[in-house]
Amino acid sequence: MDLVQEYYQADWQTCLCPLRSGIIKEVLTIKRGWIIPVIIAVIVAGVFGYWGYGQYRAKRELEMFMGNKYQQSFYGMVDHIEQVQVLLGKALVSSSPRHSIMILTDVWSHANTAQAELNKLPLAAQTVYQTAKFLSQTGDYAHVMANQQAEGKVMTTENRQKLQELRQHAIKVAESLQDVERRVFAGDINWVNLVKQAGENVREQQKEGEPDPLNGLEDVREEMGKVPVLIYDGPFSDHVVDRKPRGLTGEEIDKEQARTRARKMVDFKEEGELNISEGTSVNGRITSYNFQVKNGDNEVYSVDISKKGGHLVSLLNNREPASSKISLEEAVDKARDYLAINGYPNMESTYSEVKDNIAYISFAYQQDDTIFYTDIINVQVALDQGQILAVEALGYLMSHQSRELESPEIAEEEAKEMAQNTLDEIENVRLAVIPQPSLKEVLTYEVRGTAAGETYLIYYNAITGDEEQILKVILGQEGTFAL
Amino acid sequence: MLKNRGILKVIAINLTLMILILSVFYITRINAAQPTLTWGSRGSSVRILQRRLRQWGYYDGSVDGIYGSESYRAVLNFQRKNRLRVDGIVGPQTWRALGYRGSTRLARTARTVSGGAGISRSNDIEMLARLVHAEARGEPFEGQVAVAAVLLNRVDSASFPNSISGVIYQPLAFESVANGQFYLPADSENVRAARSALNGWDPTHGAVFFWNPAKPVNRWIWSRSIIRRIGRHVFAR
Repeated sequence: MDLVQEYYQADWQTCLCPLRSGIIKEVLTIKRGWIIPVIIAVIVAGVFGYWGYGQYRAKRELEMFMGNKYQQSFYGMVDHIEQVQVLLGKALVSSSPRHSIMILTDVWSHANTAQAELNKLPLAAQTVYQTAKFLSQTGDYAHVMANQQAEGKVMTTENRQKLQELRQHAIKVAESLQDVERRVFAGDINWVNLVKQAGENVREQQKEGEPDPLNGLEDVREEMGKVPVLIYDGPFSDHVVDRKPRGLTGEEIDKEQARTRARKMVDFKEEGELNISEGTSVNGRITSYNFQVKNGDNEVYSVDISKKGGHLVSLLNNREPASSKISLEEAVDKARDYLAINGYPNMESTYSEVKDNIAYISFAYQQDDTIFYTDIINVQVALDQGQILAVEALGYLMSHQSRELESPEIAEEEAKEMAQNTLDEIENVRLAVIPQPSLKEVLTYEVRGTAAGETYLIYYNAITGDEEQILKVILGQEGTFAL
Repeated sequence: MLKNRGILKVIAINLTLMILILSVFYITRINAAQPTLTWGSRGSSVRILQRRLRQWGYYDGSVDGIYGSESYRAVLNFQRKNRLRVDGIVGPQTWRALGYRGSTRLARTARTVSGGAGISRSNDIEMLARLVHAEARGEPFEGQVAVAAVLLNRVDSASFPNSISGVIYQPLAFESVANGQFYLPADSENVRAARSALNGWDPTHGAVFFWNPAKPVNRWIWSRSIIRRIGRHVFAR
């Protein structure tokens, strides 16, 4: 302490008397051991402090920015959900089909946007899972109702009741969200902190099973638990998600039989010493046995064989072919033969794509000149050895069944005439069964033609003549596919 | 309007076809245009008219494709009921009321568009492949396809965003996206796994969750129904 004072006195004198600088210099040299570190410390502290403050500010700015983005999504979501419930109310009192269609389409749009905003919030899957589903289904249901009215059908009492029910849930959700909104507004909920806590929460919940920190959203979740199962003609209908396979014929087989089947399905070019795994269960849409079949070269096939009927569900090989020696046509023939031998006859190739020496080929079931886009099997063929690398028959097994073919009420010529209104040139017309979003099967005429140099596939209902679907065919570098 | 809602609509409506036929589909809804019909017209358009009028209870005659007196009366009746001009001429207005597009031809403003202009699947594949790389590097090939399939199953699910990018960038959804691993380039095996999933392969039969049981995870996740285990990952609905 004394030393420092002495130094400051000396220093003070220096400023007044430059002539005595020699003595001062002496003082400085003596005291240097103390002064320099102090100066350095001050400078370093200053620099760090300045830098740290800058960092702090930058971080705050970024956090504020992120927080604002989340706020925007949250308020957007609340607004759109409120719109959904108001519009559902309007739809229920509207008696004009034209207006009702407009309102229901708006419900669909608002519900979808609300779902998208909800999914932008930093919330765990368990918090949003049900609510997101509710919003999708509500929008989807409204969309299907709008579509039905556009077709001239009237909303049934049952439809109205469903809409009423959905509306009640939407109102409850909106109310709970208004609580959350108040807490967000009061600053009790900080989205950025939620992101930071996300990692920690996982560990805490693992130990103590703590409830979600967002009580209001907990109410929403509870409300969502009460939403009944919704079955209707849309893609998000519960029957689409929970559908059962239709194509599984035959008896239950045991693991050993399945193992023999798996051994038969693999297509090694050089087997060497074959090693087949014990086999595990797959509790998917089609319950199956899975086997890992390995050859001497460490090439592995993973094979799924269905427990009922022993059908090949899936086959997947990890080899990457290094060259192409056979043509796409040869590959298609090989794949078709393979399918026919292994329980899938009458398959016609529909689309194909060649990439990295592998042909990706899609097959559809064909019966009496009618193609079934419902029953699809995908195959990968290695173009170096013509080896079947992968097969996927899940889609086929889910939908294929023996069907009575309907006879069309519209003549092929009529379908052509309809298409001629919009297409410049017609290349091909054939009967095709296509799946609707609700998985209903529709018999159609598939008209392939061009408009303004682009190729399209138009599907006309073969019974009513209604246009069911339009696909655009893309002839890209990667092959032919339809969008 | 169509453009804006296009992406959602495509996914919502055509989900099933998307999986079943091949890869991703963009569908444009255009109603076929119908020519103007008067007494004496013949052909398929008349049959369409007669069929629709019969469906809706305006017409009892046969669907013969000839616009005769019975059809004429039915059209007059239809026009009266729908507050259209009652002239027996089935023009654009009447066709629209019948649920069809009435003008003669579609406007062809997009003449310059060729082949597959403006459409690319490589973005999707690249994104998927990078996620596979970040989440399932070192897993068996099947496990990589499974991770890509879970991502696509989420796109199709009502509970998750409706696009590949939406699913990938959903907050708190993937650790690798949060920590930047996602931005590392994918290798060729990842790319093939992504392509296989886009072409319909799904070893998980519709799973929307996967996790590594060796790591701490949310307790709720274990309440999901587990489908199978591949490599280090458990897949569940």
